Amino acid sequence: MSRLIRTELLKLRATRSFLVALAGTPVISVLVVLAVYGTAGHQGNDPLGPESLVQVLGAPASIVTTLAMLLGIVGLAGEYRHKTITTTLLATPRRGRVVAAKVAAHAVAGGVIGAITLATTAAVAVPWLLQADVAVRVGSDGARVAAGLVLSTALHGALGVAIGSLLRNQTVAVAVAFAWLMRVEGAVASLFRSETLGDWLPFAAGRAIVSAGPGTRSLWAAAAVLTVYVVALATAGTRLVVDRDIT
Amino acid sequence: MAAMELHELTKRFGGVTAVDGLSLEVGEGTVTGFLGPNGAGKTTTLRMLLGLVRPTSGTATFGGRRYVDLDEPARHVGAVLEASSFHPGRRAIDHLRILAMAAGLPARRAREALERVGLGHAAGRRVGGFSLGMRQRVGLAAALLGEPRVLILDEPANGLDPEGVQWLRAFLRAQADDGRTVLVSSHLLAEVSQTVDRVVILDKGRLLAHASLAELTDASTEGMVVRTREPAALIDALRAGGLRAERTGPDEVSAAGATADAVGRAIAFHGIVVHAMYAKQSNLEDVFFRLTEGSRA
Repeated sequence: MSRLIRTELLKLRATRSFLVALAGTPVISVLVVLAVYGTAGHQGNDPLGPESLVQVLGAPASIVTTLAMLLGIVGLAGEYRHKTITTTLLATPRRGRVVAAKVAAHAVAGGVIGAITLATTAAVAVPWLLQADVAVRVGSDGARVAAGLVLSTALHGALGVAIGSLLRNQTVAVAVAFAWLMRVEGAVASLFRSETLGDWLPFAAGRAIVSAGPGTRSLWAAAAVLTVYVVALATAGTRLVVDRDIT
Repeated sequence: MAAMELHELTKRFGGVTAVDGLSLEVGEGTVTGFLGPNGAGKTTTLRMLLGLVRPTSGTATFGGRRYVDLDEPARHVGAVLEASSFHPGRRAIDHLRILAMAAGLPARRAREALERVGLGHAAGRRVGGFSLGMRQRVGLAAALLGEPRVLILDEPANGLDPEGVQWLRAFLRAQADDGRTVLVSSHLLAEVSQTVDRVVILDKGRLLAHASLAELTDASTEGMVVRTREPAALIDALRAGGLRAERTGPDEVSAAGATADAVGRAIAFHGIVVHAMYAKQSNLEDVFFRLTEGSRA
């Protein structure tokens, strides 16, 4: 199995979209820090303070988790788009193992993107705060947001593969994922007029993983919810990948 | 022993039967042409052999084992099914390294395989910029990665220029000389007839013929052709001997359905001078069209 995971990681490294994503991640982090700290104390925003580091560490999460998810979708649905699924399944006829390896590889890739985001954000934010004579405090909230960012991007990478395995048409998979993220999830939560239902929806769980402070769920509870979605969707998707003919 | 065996293989897509009870064996070390018009079921059959399409019924095996049950299948069977199964942004060498790693083969095999198909110079180029002929070669390189004893090629000559076709012909012959079993589907009959030992002809998912090239064409002898400066005398002589004869050229007479022995006797009996005499045989194309036309009637 480790050989298949290494194969999937090699596929990622040999593809420009992943390399562009890796190169773009630090840029996203820097722009987010600039946007948050550059407007601190203006336009109704809080001025820089001891909580500013924790606040900015989680700020790029929505962008980079979406990026990891897109890479996951392309990682599986792209095989159908480019017809490389044929050569992939000729080399590894056990289809379930291929999907499992992709889930694992994209979790690793997502985790790497999360770690780069975290490192870059901290590398820009800490000197900024020090220069502004603001105390830099990490604390348990900072540690949680940092760990949550890496965990959330990893889970979103795996979630993307699961979505790709279910839909297999790359364009449709991306459109459905965005529609759910932007519209459907919020509509579902409001439809049932439930304050707690949102905690059990996938992207809300993803956001909760990177949240800290009073009233937030535990990191592991939120991660468990998203993990259940990944496992359920990947299991259903694997069934489809195994059963469908490659014509 | 059979390298490949199909037993009552059937595939239905909804109400359409693509392959209908196909049974055949492909012997080790042979180059077999897999022929049929478009929609005959060739590609579906090959994909069932390779575990990509699930048969409705029947079995397709290599040495008694399904493709999906082979340990390290790339070491047993290499296949090229379509010329476009590449990520266009990936370099040729990376495409092959990925397949080598997935198959548990050493990474050096990627470069060796590219060198073998004459693409060593293009290893670092992205496949999206390759011509169709170059893509076909990358596909063949991928099939050769595991040094398999069996090669399955689906329409490998599609889109190739004459130089590419010539290269492919030499490639297939080289594989046969190495003792590999090759199953090659094609609709370029003239091309196949120069490279295969045996022929399988399929139409509407059914087996029409499975024989050696010689058996198929020998069985289709259409008669004798004689060249002479006395065609009228020859026609009279043949007809006098009870044979059908007609003039088919200024100095050529054809005796449909006649044997060399019967024609030779008539010529000798009447003392006619001839310059040449040979059997008129159907080529593979004639046989193919006759068989597939028959199945449509």
